[in-house]
Amino acid sequence: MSIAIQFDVVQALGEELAALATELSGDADLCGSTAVSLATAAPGEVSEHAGATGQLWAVLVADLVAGAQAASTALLGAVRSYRLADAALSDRLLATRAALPVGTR
Amino acid sequence: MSAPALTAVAAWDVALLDGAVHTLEAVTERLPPWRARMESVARALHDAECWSGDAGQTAALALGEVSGVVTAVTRALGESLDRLEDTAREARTAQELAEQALAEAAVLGVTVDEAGGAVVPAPAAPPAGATPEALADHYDAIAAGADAAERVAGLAADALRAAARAAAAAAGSAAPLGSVGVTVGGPPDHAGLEAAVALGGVWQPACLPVVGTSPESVAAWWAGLSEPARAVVTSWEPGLVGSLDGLPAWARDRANRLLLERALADPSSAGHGTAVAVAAELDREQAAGRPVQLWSFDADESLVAVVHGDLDTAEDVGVYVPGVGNDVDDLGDLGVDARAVADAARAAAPAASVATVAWLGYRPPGNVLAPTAWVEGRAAAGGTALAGDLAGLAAARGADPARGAELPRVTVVAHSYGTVVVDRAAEVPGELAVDALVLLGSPGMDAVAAELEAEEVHEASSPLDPVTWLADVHGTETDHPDFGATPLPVDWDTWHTLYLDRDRPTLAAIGEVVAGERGSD
Repeated sequence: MSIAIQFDVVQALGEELAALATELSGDADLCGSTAVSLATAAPGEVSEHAGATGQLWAVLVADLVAGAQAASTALLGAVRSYRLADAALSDRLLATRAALPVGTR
Repeated sequence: MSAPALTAVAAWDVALLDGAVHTLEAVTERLPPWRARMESVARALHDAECWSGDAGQTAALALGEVSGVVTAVTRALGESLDRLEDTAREARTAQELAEQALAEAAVLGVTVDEAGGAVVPAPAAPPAGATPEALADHYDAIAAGADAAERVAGLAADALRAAARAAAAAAGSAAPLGSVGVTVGGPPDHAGLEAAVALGGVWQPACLPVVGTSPESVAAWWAGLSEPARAVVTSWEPGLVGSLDGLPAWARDRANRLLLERALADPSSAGHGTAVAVAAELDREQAAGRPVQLWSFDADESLVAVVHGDLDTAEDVGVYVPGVGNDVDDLGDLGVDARAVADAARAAAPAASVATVAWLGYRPPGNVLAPTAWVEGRAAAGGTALAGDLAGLAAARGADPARGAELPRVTVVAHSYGTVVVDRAAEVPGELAVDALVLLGSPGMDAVAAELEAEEVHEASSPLDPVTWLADVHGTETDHPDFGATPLPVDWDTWHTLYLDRDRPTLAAIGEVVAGERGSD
């Protein structure tokens, strides 16, 4: 099985996911402050229930942010791991080559 | 909890409530384009062009699960929003009625309690020896007081009933969130959400569109599916997904490539030869680094449409409908023609993004002597297919939240018998979803330009193109003044086959039409 990865492309996709998470986190905050408005606008049963629903909205949207953030972290982490592995392999090859007697390199 | 007091309802800040609900509505409106962008990332990974291997596929799968969650959450929030909107509407009604009841009570001297009961002060007894007129006035005043009390009580009762409806709607506003495992007091984290969505099967496609479903409905159905659901439908029903008008081109391409693989794998199948020809064209283009999409593919019927470019994002789209003598073995030449049109459009508008389609969505007659070239059966079938594809393109682009539902400029460039296909397409019920038509070397058309349902109709007829004047087999010559098309420049020796020649003026003019840079009479 072959493995191929275009570092820059995957890095860009990871960054796009991070940007998406950041964008949506603003909406999660907005839902949180809106929940407060819902909880105070019509005191009594209406605000009690609507405020609770607003809080659930905030949690749900924050969960979406977490999902996008986790995916972003996974992609960016994978690219970093591949790059580190490649660098380590390169170092080992260089070290092996340096250990060879002159004339056999 | 006890019912709210009338004065409390009158004091509700309904503007604040409305504002809060509008804010949540705005959040729900931003979610679909957000989701579309995220799914673009998932597709890029899934296509394995940038990351192949187990880890890449695992990452794509994980993103697909996120998509499933976003889809389910978006749907749940939308239903919750409906109930919050009901809440706000009923609360406004309750507040206005309560305020009105209290105001009228003050004016009329009626006392109203918090439960909405209204009473008027007991009137003083009539003076002894009052005249009959004075007694009549006294009892009129008592009756008026009772009427006022009844009216205030009615307003108060209506207010409290509306308040109760608002409370009921608010109480139900969290219920839709249960579909993603959310209940008051126990919201899950993202992992919990994924589990709830998977267990609930909410990403599973509930049903498939049936024949006759409008492209707009198809587009809406597709938009409601998560990426995993789309993948399931595509792998189970590639024949359906590959041909559904209203789906984005990337989806049809993915499904049609599955069909192509299957046809290639079965040399004994009737459509194997078609598959080989199509695969060769796709391979040729991809090897040259040119993006292509397999927009339509029916191996058994030898019907195919290859997009040169990206039909989902192009600002200007040209659909090339060839005429007599073309079949799938000519896809290479048709691709050259389609790319020539695209290049001409880019020359006319260098900043434009352009996609052109080599459209063989019908089976042109084999040659001009074939009986099918002189009748319109093939054109009728092709016209229906062309109208459907154009409507599907408009519906898919109109439903794309990632690009603000902006429609591309669409030009159909038809050659020879292809113009007869356009003629029949315009007869299909509903407006033809096209901005401009370019008719090249036409053997005549039944309709005149004004009847072709396009804002612009251009035509080119070479003096040495016998098809345009030898016999008006299919109707009015398109260069006749009665037809009403805008003529494009032609060299005298363009004949019937050189309208898309890169060294002649007609192609440049076609490019200007496709790019929207050429005026029309």
